[in-house]
Amino acid sequence: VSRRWWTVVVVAGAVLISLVLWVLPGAPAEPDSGRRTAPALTGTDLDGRRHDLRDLRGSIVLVTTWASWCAPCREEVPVLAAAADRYGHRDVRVLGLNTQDTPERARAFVAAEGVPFPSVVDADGTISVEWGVRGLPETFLVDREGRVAAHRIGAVTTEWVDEVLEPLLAAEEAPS
Amino acid sequence: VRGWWRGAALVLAMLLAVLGLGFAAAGDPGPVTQETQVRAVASGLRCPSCAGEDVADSAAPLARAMRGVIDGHVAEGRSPDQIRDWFAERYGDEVLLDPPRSGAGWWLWLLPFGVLGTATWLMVGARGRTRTAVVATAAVLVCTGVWWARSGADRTTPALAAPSGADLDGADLLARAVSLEPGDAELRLALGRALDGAGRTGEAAEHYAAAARLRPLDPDPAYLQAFALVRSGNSGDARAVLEQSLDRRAEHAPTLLLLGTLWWEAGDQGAAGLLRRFLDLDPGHPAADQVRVMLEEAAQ
Repeated sequence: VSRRWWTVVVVAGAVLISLVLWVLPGAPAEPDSGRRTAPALTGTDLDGRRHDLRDLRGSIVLVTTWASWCAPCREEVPVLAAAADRYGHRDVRVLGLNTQDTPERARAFVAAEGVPFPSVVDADGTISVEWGVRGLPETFLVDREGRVAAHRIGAVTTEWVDEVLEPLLAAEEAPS
Repeated sequence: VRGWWRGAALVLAMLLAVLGLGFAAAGDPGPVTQETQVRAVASGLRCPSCAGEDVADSAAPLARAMRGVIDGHVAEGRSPDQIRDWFAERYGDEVLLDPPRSGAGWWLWLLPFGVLGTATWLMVGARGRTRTAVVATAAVLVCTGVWWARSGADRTTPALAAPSGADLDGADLLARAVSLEPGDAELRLALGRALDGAGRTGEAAEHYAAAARLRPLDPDPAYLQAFALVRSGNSGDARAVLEQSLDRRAEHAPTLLLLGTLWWEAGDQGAAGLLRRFLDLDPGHPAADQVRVMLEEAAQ
């Protein structure tokens, strides 16, 4: 067999391997709609009451990360409060994750802004890392099966809340 | 047969050179403690909220939290690869400083082996002048690689020592350190102070601002930034910085004094309230008597 022939074989093999590797997925896809299971969220809130996201299985939960030093977090409080009001009767809850903050400042923020939902304290930020949070605020929509159905980086808006919640609720009401 | 032996000897020599390069690049790993394991993993992760910093060296709050998580995983006995995968699941492959072993990332891992295989094939198959050229090229590449690996420590360690005979002042040295460690709040503050001392208040304010972003819960960098802005004639920006800082922490006496004074100068109604809060918090402050006099005069 000539050397030229070997060169052709090697180049063709390399191209073939590269094509196979290119189309291989990086990670196995989840069998369902692509929603990943929400990470654990357990801890005490600013009043010392214990919360566990697993206890809210069966409800739709907006998990929102915030801190008293974060200006956009202040802006989104009325939006989240309104969402809890408008969708509360359809079993939609809001659970805060107060991250990298001090309890005094966080309580002052809650009082000043009228935050109506409880917030698990994440003083060292490790729960936020568990959720893959990059900056504040970030909000996750967790469906009734405990999977992340939507994720928002930055302050939430009424439009975003409606956009992600309405289809989820409509799908539940649709005849199966 | 003689040609075969010669080829085998060349391959062996090349393998030895590559192994030598590997050892040179790896260096002395030192004792393996939990801290070194955490640092090793953190060095391979990109800080998602920083510009071009790894998790090991970033002073950003998120990087600090990530180091805490890595520490927990190491304590639980997870391997570095498992921890890397854990982070990639949450932050995507872009959090990994090394390319992932999946999809297109495979190519980057296979590349060195491809080069090695091709070189071996060429060396065994080549004849005469071609073989000499291949060996010479390989030798140059290996030497360059060893030099690059040896100089690696210089690239990754901040060069803080003053070069002999250079006319660098403290600010220049600190500026160099900051360019190597842009996420270190302490270095930013030190550079800010050095620039402040040299009368370069505008530049100082920029570095205090960076320190304030890195330490959002600490009111001191924001106060220093505002003070530098005032001295560079930018009282408007200083007021905005102080007002934002006061929102985060309402009981910081220097912030109350400076913002109260700025509001006072601008004839703002709220100034007296801020200055009274300052007096309540720090009645023994050197400026307290002057503030009392101001407030009393205004009340009459």
